[in-house]
This record gives sequence, C-alpha cells and structure tokens, in this order.
Amino acid sequence: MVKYSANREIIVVKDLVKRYANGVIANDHINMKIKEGEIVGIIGPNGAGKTTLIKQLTGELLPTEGDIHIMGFNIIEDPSPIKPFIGVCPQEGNLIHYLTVWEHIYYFARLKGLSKEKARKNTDEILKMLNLKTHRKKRINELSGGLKRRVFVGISLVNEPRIVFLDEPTAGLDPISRMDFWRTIKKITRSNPETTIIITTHYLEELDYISDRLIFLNNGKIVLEGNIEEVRKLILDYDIKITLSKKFKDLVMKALMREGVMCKIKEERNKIHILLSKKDISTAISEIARFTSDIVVSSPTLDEVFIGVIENEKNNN
Amino acid sequence: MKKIITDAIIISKINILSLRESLTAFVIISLFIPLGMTYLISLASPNWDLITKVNYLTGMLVLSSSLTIINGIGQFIGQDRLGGIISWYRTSPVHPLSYILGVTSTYLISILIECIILIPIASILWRIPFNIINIGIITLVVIVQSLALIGIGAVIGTRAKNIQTVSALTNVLSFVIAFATPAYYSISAVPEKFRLICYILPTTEASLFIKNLYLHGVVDVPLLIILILISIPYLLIGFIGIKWREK
Repeated sequence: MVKYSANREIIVVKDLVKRYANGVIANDHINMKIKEGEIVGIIGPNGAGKTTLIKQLTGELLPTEGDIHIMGFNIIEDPSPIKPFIGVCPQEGNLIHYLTVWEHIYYFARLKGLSKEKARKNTDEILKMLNLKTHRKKRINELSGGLKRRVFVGISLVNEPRIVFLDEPTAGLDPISRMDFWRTIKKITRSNPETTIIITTHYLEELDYISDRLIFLNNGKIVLEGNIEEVRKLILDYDIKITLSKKFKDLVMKALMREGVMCKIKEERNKIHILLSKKDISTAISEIARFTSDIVVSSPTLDEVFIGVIENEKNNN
Repeated sequence: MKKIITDAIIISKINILSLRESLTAFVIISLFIPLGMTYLISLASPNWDLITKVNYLTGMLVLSSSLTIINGIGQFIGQDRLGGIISWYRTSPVHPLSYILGVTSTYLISILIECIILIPIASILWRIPFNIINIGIITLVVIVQSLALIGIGAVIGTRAKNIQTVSALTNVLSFVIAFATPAYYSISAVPEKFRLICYILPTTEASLFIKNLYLHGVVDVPLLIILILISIPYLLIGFIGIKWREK
C-alpha cells in the first residue's frame, strides 16, 4: 500500500550521515526532497559520496544517522516495502553471463513480483524500447559493453518503477551509445511523466539534456542545488557565452569596455569565450559583429558550472 | 511465504540454467569421474571383502558430494557477491531466504541426481547387496550431510576477499574434508586425539551411518539425529554471512 499522495515529495532525506568503519564520512548531513516525476541529477567529483547516497536510498546500505522516507515508508527501518516500486541501475557489477538477454530481464521481472504473463509482456516491450530485440537470444557474455548497459537499464525498468536510480549509467560507453541511452531515457520520461529519476553521471552535458534539477555533492555535503538555469546564474554570474577567434580578443575587449559591457574572458587554444549577462547580449553582438561574424552564442556548459562550484567551495574553505 | 518460495524456485531455475554452459564439466565431475573410478576399482578388486567395498562406496559419495557442494556453493556465492550480481537481488523485492533456498536447492538437486545414479551402479559393479529403500535412506543422509557442506561453502563464498581466495579455499577444504572423513578407512584407525576433529565433520556421521546400514543393516537413528544437529549450525553460520544490507 503506497502511503503518499501524488505531487508530493516521493523522497525525503533528513540529516543523512554515512560514516564508514574506516572513519571516512561519505555523506555528511544531507537533506533533500524529491518530488514525484522529477528528474534529478546528482553530480560531484570522485569520492563526493554520490554512490553511497544512492545505495542508501535503494536500501542496500544502512546509514549511520538520519532519516530516509521514500513513498512515505521509513526505509531505514525496513526497505522492503519500496523495492517493488524502484528500479536500480548500479554503477558497477555484472550480469549473469550465462543467461540470454530475454531470460535476464524476464527472470528479474518475475523476482520483482510480476506475473508470468505481465513479465513476458513487459520484457518484450523493454527489449523493443531499448533496441535489444535482435539480441534477445544472445547470452550476456556475447554482448558489447553498450548492449550490456542497456540490459542493466532494461532490468531496472521492467517492473514499471515509480522511482528509477541510475548510477553512472553511461560510464564506459562510447559517445554514440551514450546519446542512444539518453534518447531512450527521454522517451521513457515522456511516456511515463510520473516516473521519478535520480541520475548520477560524470558527463555533465548529459544532465543538461535530461535533468530538471541538479544537486551538487562535494566531500559528502550538498553544496548547491536548484534547476539548471538557477545554478548557472548563481555560480557563474553570467548566462551567455560567445565564442570567437582569439585574434579579435584585444579589439573586442576594447569595444565592449567602451560600451560598458561587464564580461569575463576565457581563453582556450585559438578561441576566446566571452561570458556575459543576457541583458548585454545585443550590445555585445553588435560590437563583435564589427570585427567578425564567425561567432557562436551558447549557454555555459555544466562542466563550467561544476568547476565554478568546486572553486567556490575551495574559496569558502 | 508464497513469494519467498516462488522467488526461490526462480533463483534455482536461474542457477540451473548455468548448466547449459558447463553441462559437460558438471557431468564429468559429478558422474563420469565417480562412475569411472567405480568401474576401475571394480576391475582392480574382484576379491575385496564387503567392508573394503563399502568403504570405497562411502568414500566415493563423501568425496563426490564434498567436491560438488563446497566448490559449487563457495564459487557461486563468491561470484555473486564479489561480481556485484547479488546487488540485482538485493534491490529487488527478494527475501534473503529466497536466495538461500534457491542456491541451496540447486545443489541439493545435483546431489540427489548423483546419489540416484552412483549408488545403484556402484552397488551392482562391486556386487554390494542393495535395495531401493537403502538407496532412499542413503540419499537422505547424503542430502543432510550436504546441508552442512553447503554451510561450509557459503562461509567461504560470503567472507573471502576475492575470487582467487574463494577458489583456493574451496579446493583445499573439499579435499581435506573428503580425506579427513573416516570413509575409506575405519574411525578406529584414526589416532584418538584426532577423533574429535573427525566427529565435528558432518561427513563422518554420514559415513558411519552408511557403513552401518550396508554392513549391519542398521538404520542408526541417533547418528542421523546427531548429523542433523551438526548440520544446522554449519548451515546457519554459512548463511549469516549473506548481507542483504551493508553496514
């Protein structure tokens, strides 16, 4: 019996602390609330505590202190009530190499509590959705890394979960497989808008593509959270990036200063990135256009935001 | 309870499917080697007395079940745990008992098949008098003894730090247990100070039971009860190590 009503927080974490036996504090008083249907990206450098957090949310790891309520259930006391409603794609781990793709997804659908008929139907649908239909009879050990990753996702989605945890789901995949993967996830979120997805990844541009909200973890603490635009603005003080050839740097800088445009310049090989506020965009472009029309206007990448967050943290400390 | 049993059956099915890849190895280890040895011994020992023949049959059952169970369970659980497969079960609504029952039942089925094939063939080849009831009783005893061996395999599988340690320990321990058990020889041949070690091994009670049944026609119920009592702690200690939630 699900003990929460729709449009409310599906995950509530209060003062969560995870201290390992060796004294390492992987999660340090984490507080967060995630609403039903939200797609939340958790990012942070290696060792920030992302996987530890996911493992506690999925009931695999017992926290040292704090509370976790998922769908209204206190999962620290007993995680079993939420397990039929979650799907987990772990960061590491193997599949059962001697099973075929179909068997693997089907048997885990059965273990997740689906009837034989429903498990068969869902397995076939998942294989179709993940473009695994032609590989259904192949054993796991015959698959490439990308196809195995799709099986991981297939298992995590086969029970039509309310909450999906994707821990570094594209780690080790080539760019094309990564793009395919996120297209599939996007397709799923469109067809099931009430599904809540929690993602950790190192490829920040992927979160830009899919997430509603970002949570930055560093040294086990949440250092920043908000939607992508808010986070960009908060950290970088600018929201537009104009990229052009480095040879125009001095001319452009003089012109922008003359017009009173506040900006930052970042150099990268033979290019410069001019970072500025949206309100100055038309002035800046008309000034730059006097020297060159070969410019690219874009938003700052999440990588830049991420580096900004980490730099801010260092400065604060 | 229904879900626990259904899940155990599914996990057992998953495990049995592994035989598709290793069916030849399984048949060779579980059947061909014991049957081949049985045949060779029958050729080499036409004039052996009944005691020697029964010792060999008992030894064959103990050796075979030790190798199959300790190696099989230890490596299976070790690979599941160290390879991260157990995470798939832990994050699904699967009760730990289902996993234990699923894994255990797979190996008990293989032992059942071994007993049903090995005992009558060895008895015929070595001209040991036997009847169906005896085969049933011996199979039951070997299965109870196998529960303890499952516990030993599970201890290794759940606690070893890496898969190489699992392999090394299971290989060494299955042979040590097989040969430290007074199956090929009489318990009276074991120096008195080492006898306690022999009695701690569940295979010892099973061997004594089988020998009593064949040689004296006695169904030694107290010995069977002792065997059951010894097997329970082995099994419990083995599976206590399966962590469904890490600390």
